Amino acid sequence: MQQTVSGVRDALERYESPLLRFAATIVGKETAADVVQDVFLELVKEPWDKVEGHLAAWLFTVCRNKAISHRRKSARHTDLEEDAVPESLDRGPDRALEKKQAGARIARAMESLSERDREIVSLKFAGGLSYKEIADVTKLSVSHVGVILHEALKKVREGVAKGERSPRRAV
Amino acid sequence: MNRIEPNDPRLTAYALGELPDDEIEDFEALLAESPEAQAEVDEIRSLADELTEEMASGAPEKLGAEQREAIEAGKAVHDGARVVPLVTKPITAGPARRRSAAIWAAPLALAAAAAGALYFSSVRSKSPASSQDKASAQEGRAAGSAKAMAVATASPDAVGRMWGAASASPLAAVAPGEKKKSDQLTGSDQGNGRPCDPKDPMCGQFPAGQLLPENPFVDAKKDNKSTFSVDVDTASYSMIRRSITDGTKPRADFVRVEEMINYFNYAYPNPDDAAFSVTSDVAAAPWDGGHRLVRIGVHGREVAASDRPGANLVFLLDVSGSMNSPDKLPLLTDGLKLLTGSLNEKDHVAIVVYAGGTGVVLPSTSGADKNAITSALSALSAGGSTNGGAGIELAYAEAKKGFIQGGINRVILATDGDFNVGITDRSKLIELVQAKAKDGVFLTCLGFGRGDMKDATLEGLADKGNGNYAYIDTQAEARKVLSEQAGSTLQTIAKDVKIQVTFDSGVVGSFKLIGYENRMLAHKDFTDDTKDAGEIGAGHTVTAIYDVVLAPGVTLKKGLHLADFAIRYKEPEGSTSRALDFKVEDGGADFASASVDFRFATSVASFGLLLRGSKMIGDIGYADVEKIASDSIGEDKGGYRKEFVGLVQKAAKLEK
Repeated sequence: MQQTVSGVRDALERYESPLLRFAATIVGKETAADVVQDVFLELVKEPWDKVEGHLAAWLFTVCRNKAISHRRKSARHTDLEEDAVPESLDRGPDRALEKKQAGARIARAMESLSERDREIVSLKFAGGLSYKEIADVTKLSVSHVGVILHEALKKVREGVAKGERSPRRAV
Repeated sequence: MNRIEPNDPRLTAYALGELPDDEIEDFEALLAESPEAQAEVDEIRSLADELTEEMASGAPEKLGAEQREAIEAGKAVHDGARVVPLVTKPITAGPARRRSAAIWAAPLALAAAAAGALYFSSVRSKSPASSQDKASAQEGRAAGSAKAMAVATASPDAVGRMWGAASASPLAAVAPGEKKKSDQLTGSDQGNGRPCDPKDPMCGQFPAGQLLPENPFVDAKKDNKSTFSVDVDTASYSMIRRSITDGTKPRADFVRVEEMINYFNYAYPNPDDAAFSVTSDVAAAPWDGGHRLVRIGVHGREVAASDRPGANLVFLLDVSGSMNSPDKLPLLTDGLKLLTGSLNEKDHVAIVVYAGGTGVVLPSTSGADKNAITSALSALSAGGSTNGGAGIELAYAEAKKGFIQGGINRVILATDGDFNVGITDRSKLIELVQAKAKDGVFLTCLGFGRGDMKDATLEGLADKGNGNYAYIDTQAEARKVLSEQAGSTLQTIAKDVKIQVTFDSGVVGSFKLIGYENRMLAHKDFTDDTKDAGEIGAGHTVTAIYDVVLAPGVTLKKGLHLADFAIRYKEPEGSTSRALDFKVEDGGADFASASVDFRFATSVASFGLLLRGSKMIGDIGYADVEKIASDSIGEDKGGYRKEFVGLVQKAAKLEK
């Protein structure tokens, strides 16, 4: 599965969308592209041999750091607590999300996770990273990542099940 | 023995394809022992797909052109080189796709099962009258009365037009007593029906959500014939059951009375070595002692599992996000596992899934390799949007690869019916299904879920695909359709089965076929072998009930000849039909002395008519239906009739 990525263009091609999805979970979809642009501007300055072999971990680490600092800055700006909650996980301006009840339930259930756990879930399902890559980004052991993901998914499922008890229209 | 505890992180690792290779085998062995753990894995996978979908939704796919330029410029500055525009290709690998890679690579196991020829001998007839020449004589008469027929019976074309303008339907019906004509067009506004576009080739074929007008009483002097296609579907009954159980009065357009009647088994004689047995009996109607009910029963030959020819099955499964509900995908996979349990080395199974993308998740695999099939089923998870069209083509391609000459070749489509295909695609879909049926690959449709299920679409597809259609609302229903009645679901005994009844217009004043509204045929199509009709599977029973009013001045007496009827059918692989003729004589029975089955079938018919708001059953109410049904439960294997009585009680409460 691991394809060889031999330069910035390959990196862009391979990781652009996963990075955008991942960044969106932290800063919202509007600013995700800005963050990812910054990541790649950082990448072009980096000597290739320093990132080679652990490119995914490097990109997602930088992306996470930039996204979090971006979110802090904008939170200070607006002084709104809610801004700290990622848009795509919240009621936010994303109308498509509103439409999808199931999606909304998942988003709500995600909010019950700790920040670290949520990040790991995002690295997995937005970033599409392997356990090993997540371990590299988060500086945790692979088995620890496995335990966290298992428990986090369980928690999300329970949250979704709770949200599902609203009455449904029958035939 | 190590058990898998719910907090075992290997569950998630396995579900996500992250378990190290050297641990997989041991874990799968443990998993095979624990249905709970399998269910857990399934749930994790379906959540994983939802999460992936959710996180992708709304997030930008690509950087903007300016942002890319900025990066390029940054790179240029850094490299000291000139700017070259970037060429971007779509990213292909997502985590959801990765999982199926191993299954894709699984070896193709095309079992070349020996063809067990279906043997077919002459059909036992109760009172054979004559044969082929009579049919052509009838056709001649039918042509003579073509004008009357055009108004009084519903040819598919006429029906199509009626759907378009149900309230202005030109039905030249003769209602007995003081019944008004408008009464026959009940509740056309009850379904959330859309008017159908005459330019739509499917207009008239799929009256999505539209209630067909109830068959009218036909004046036997104007047209003494009634022609229809058999229907062994049962979906309507289970949909109604689900609705009532949920506490909602069923939508009238989901009520197809014949599917309700045919949901139940009736003790028709076993056909021995013939393809099917045919019987008829007559008794008074419970709603009017002056009306005679004529019941025609057809019973397809039972085939022992050991005598069944090899089956080449392709499960075509909808795994779109909407299937991710406890009453859909889990019910489906459990049901198919039951079906898999009844397969053996003569059979093989392939699994094709469709959602946003389409793929073969299990290439044709021997029915003896149950582990491979059930684990592929367990591995399914729902996510993505639906596109039924592409999946069906792939499924038929798989069916063709594994084709068993002389065997059972069938695509089993399971969906909540949320096909994401346009009108033109839908008509192509029908063409495809029809063409494949001609090539010997039949289609079975299994419907799941509530509300948005495209009931009429599935019924139509199964109809055109020489198949049957069932709606799976419960575990018990899954067991009934896919295990207890697996033989009928899979094996066709006779195809294009049509019935034509010719009433004695000197004796019968008017008649009405209960149900079968969307199965009516033009009289001339009875002998037209190019005209499609319903199939009968092994062990299937088909029941049709006519409500008959005797002509003025005719007195009821034992042995009164009411009608003749003929059944036409083709062998499963034949292309020319043969006909069998029968006589209907009235024994003069009142309703109370009719057989248990006769009374029970009548109670089901009455219930269906009540639900669709018929005005043609006198003042029969839910309490009467309940009484008739509970007095005619009989042996009731499986408890389906008792369940029916409970359903009638619930429906009565909903009415209040």
